[in-house]
Amino acid sequence: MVNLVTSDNESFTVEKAVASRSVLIKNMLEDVGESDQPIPLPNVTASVLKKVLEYCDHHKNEPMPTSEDLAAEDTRKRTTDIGEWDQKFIQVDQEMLFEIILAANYLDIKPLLDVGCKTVANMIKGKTPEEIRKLFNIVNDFTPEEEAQIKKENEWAEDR
Amino acid sequence: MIQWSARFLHHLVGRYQHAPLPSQGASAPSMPPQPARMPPEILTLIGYYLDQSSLLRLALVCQRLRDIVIPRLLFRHVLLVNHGAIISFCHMLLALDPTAGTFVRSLDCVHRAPKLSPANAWLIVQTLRRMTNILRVNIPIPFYEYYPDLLIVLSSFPKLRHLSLGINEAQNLSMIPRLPELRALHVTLDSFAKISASSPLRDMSHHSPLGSVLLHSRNTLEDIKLDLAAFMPAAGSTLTFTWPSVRLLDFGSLALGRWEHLDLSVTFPAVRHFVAPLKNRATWHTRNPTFLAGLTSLEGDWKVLRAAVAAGALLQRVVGRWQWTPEVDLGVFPSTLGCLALRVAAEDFEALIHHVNQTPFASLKVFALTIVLDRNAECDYTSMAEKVGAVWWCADLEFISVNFKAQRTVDKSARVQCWHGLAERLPWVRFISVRIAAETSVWETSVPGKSKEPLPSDAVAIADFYCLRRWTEPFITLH
Repeated sequence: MVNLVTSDNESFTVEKAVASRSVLIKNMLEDVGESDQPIPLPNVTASVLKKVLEYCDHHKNEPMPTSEDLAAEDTRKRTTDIGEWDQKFIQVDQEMLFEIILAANYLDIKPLLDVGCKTVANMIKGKTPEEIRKLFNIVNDFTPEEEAQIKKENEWAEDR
Repeated sequence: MIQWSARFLHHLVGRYQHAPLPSQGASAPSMPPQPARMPPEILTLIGYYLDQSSLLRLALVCQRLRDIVIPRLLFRHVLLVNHGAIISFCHMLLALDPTAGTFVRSLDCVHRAPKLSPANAWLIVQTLRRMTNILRVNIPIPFYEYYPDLLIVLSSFPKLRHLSLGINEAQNLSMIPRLPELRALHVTLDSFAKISASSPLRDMSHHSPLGSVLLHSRNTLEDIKLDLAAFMPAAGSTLTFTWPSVRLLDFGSLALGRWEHLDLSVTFPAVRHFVAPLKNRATWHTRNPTFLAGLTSLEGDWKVLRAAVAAGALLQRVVGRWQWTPEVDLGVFPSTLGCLALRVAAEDFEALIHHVNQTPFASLKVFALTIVLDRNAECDYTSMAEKVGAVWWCADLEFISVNFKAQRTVDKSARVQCWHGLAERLPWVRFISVRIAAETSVWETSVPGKSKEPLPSDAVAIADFYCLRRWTEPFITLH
């Protein structure tokens, strides 16, 4: 078993197979060897780690992505398809979604990072800039002239 | 893959998580993360999943997102669909810092441009020269017709892995250089082209323009699509070359010609996905059981499909290129079958429904049916779609596509009704696509508020995701 301690000082004891879905933790365990010492995760809160561990537990028996898989993923056209369980898992509020993405990135859990990024991409697809701003509470800091210039320079990329 | 130290991440997380929104002032409590404040590396990952127009809209959200999207993400896959877009892109890229062109990894020019002026041809060449990191080029329509020299620029693309060209004249291609990294070569004849029997395009030799590319790259090629009118082994000769790594082979566009006499298992020993040519009297399949036995994905007529099953192929993906008729028994396919695409004439539709209801498909996840309608007959689209949805194994599918090929104008609302009928009957199917392609128009209006309906164009991509991706994906990586 592995003991993980979050930034808000909560402790989680999980199977090694679950914790090792994180390449960061896996590497730490390999470097340190067998140890009872808790692993501090100063960038992850308890509520986020709980969610991340739920994902790791569900996928603990799946093969880890190989470097070949990772290279192959950067293909001509990426699909935003997400597995059924993952889709339900990632139905969280926006704040939690981004916290999960940050945690997956920090902990180096590539499949979870992908699920998070695909979900955000699906939220963005088909929306106008104004709709995206509204969705994510972003302020428009362009002048009308700047906006017009971007549109003019990149009209080749517009939908037809 | 993103890897950084905890300390660096702490810095980034702190920097982005706690930056106040401009509108909320510095005294606001720590802000929840949102896209505009995410680390650029993560925004880049999100951007990889967006198409060109979505990326442009994202760049228009705020300055920070613009700086992340343009040029690195927006230029990654460039799709130019008309003459205006081609010229506008060239002007824009040439006005930027020369390094901007190095972000282009993939270029699609899919429009038949009008005859290029010398000035515009020069403009295109200069633009292409800046794309020194390009890995994939797709020009299905030879807009370079009058300026074959445009292809000389391919010699500036040493990393090119995927080349897809429409061709019309042999001499257009004489300038194509050796491409040491080429993995995928797709060559199709432009429909307006006339290739004479004496054209050097017909020779499979080091002396013919593309024959030379095909032969020089034979150890790296993994994916070949050939219009067979363009390449033929010489009459009466046996081909002594082998393409050992080719896994995807598409001979589907024309008759097999002199390829008919090859032992395909020797020439292409690693093929798993094959698009067979359509030819009534072809007999190649009777001489190639070893080749057929190795296939997992096959597109062909029923004769070829039956031959593959008889040879013991564990087919996972089958596309019937000829219309289904009641003599065809779909029960012969192995239980490994995951994707089945069929065409059927309206008069055989009822018989097909009856037949598939009697046929268990244990692993089927994707079913795509095209119904070819009679020009003069009335058609009850909704009822036909519902009959498809009522097939007992359809409830377990992940993707279903019903495509009506109509010869006359139809009521726009029919498509939406069909979709609703299927969605109601098949609540657990993840993607449902209905298309009515009439003579003059295709109804592609989306059903409002129904996110599980892909656009018909996306439906193809989804079907590919389930079915073809496993063969195609490893080949083109665009790092």
